[in-house]
Amino acid sequence: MTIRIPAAVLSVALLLAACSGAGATRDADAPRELTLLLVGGPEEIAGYEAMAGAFADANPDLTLRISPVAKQDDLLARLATAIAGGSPPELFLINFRKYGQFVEQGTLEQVQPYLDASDALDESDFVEPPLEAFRYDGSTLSCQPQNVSTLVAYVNLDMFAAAGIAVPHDGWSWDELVTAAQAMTGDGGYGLGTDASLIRLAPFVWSNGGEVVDDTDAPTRLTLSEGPAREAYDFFLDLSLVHGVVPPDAQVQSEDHESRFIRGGLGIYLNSRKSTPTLRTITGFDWDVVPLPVAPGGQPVTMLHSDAYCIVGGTGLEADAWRVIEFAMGEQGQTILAESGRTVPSRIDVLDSPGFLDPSAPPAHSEVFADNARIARATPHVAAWAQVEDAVDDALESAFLGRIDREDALRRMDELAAQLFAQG
Amino acid sequence: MVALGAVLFALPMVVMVLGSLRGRGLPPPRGLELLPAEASLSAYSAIWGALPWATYLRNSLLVVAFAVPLSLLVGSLAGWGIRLLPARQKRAVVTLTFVALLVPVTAVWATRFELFRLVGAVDTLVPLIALGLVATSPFYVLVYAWAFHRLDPGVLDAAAVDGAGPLRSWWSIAMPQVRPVTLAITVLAFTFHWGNFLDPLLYLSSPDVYTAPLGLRLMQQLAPTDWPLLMAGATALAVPSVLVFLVGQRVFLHDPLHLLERR
Repeated sequence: MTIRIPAAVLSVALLLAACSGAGATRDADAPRELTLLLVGGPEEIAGYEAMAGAFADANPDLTLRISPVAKQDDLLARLATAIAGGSPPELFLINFRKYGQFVEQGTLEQVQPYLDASDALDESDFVEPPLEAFRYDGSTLSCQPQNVSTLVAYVNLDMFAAAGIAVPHDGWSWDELVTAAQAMTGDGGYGLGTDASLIRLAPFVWSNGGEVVDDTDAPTRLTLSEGPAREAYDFFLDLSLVHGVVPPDAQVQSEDHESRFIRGGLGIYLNSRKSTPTLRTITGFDWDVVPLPVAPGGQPVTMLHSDAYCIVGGTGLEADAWRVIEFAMGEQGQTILAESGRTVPSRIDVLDSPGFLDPSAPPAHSEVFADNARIARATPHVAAWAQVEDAVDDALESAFLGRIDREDALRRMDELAAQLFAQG
Repeated sequence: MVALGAVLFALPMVVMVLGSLRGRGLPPPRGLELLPAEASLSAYSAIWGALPWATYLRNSLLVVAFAVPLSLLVGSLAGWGIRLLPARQKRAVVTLTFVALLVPVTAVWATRFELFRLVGAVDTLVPLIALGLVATSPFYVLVYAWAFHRLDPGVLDAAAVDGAGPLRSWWSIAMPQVRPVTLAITVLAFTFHWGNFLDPLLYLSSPDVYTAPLGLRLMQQLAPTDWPLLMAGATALAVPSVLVFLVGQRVFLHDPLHLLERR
């Protein structure tokens, strides 16, 4: 008896569930529905909803549903489950450091053939670095880059003026960074705020003529302990451990760099375009962006931060998904999304347009992002890369904040990375 | 000692509420502020504009309204079933229930998703409510089984002699005597379903079926200067759980409505 009752409840519930499913059967004339999975906060979601509305107006046979999640990890969890469960979204927006695993699994429909056949978009419309980052095999474009954010130095102009240091709008050297940061450290303020992670360290390594891995196409180990890369690693750690211009461990735990910068307690803050909308709320002082400092005798280079639209294969709606991309990457779509201030457009015409470079909305020197878009470099495109970063960043941060010895950190990073690269 | 424990547990709530009162547009405080700068309740009105909270809260309430009673029904019936089994089978079923308790949720994600997809229930509230069909947690079944075991066998035998079947005995004799357990499991199941983040994250993709915990997570993307909104959202989401706990605790300790008296 007691076994039959739950069974009866289960049958009723499954019946109800089946009925709700039957109601969703597609009507031939009804618009086909596409889902775009992406990471975004409330403001970004509003921007994408506006784009979806404009898309539906222009394409009566399709509707676009925006499915937002809060973090990259949430996106990966939902995506992996949905793919395994046979019900993936038709489209998703993902960072270039995370998409490799989906190419390896054969989940993606390559966008290259669609781009080649497109009347609306042309490969030459876009800046090269993000395209390069999303060519997984080096020649075929896997996903369509949406934006081309890069690592910049946000600077507190009032702190620079108070320290009597000229703002390095035309570029600066590593030594000049140290001098400026030292001049602004003291009285509770700090010269420089940066996360200690592989993607923050990498541009210093590249600028000094070094490499982060032994082979960018097929990496087997990290090369931070060698030659110019080792010099860059030491320079980066010295900012915290020798020069003391970075907030120490306890300070970082009590207040993150962005909050400290907003409060006026940080002279230079390294981050991507992501911080711009937040920093636009600052009223207490003036701020701007400048390029990253260049190594002695080195090259100006920066880290790419780019997301792209990826099409999931096998849904039967791949061509419709490409139409969404064409709309989103067209002038109307890009303009709607650029309004948040969060996005650096990957289309050359929009990137160089007065609309994006408008100096009336800070930062006054937005062209730093446009220039950076041409010199940005990407991390290796291998499926294991996201895991390598997760594993290595922990040790790097511990060394940067003085919790462990820098040699120990190097050894630990080398071991972890080698294991993960070997596993593929 | 108890007071110290209470203070430790209440402190995060206090920080959350104080944080929600801080004026918007200011950088977050560097420590605990007893009097928030430019204190106001504006964050509580502003959260409604940031995200469709009315929809999220309605969905969360729907889930709780169905999933909690379902969990109680299935949990108590299953526990009663265990109580009625002969000793050997009982041991086997209790062992199996323990094993079920040990299975990590991550191990059944993909298969559950596949099942719900087959019945067309992905992206509806059904997968969240359906957790009630397995009593939400095997733990609730075990608690009921344990409680039913403490009932006087003589009373049950007498009821059987009078012609009461197992269902009649469950409803009229067993359930009225385990009301404290029902109350405790109501509180536990409510707290679980109200705060459940992982299942909605995996099963729901349309914002119009999102539940409140997903909304709160999206608020984490707000700028640090807008964190009062995040804290206001967190406070609003915590209030129902706190209320259910406080009411439950009151009933446990004083039983003002005589709900727990054995009849």
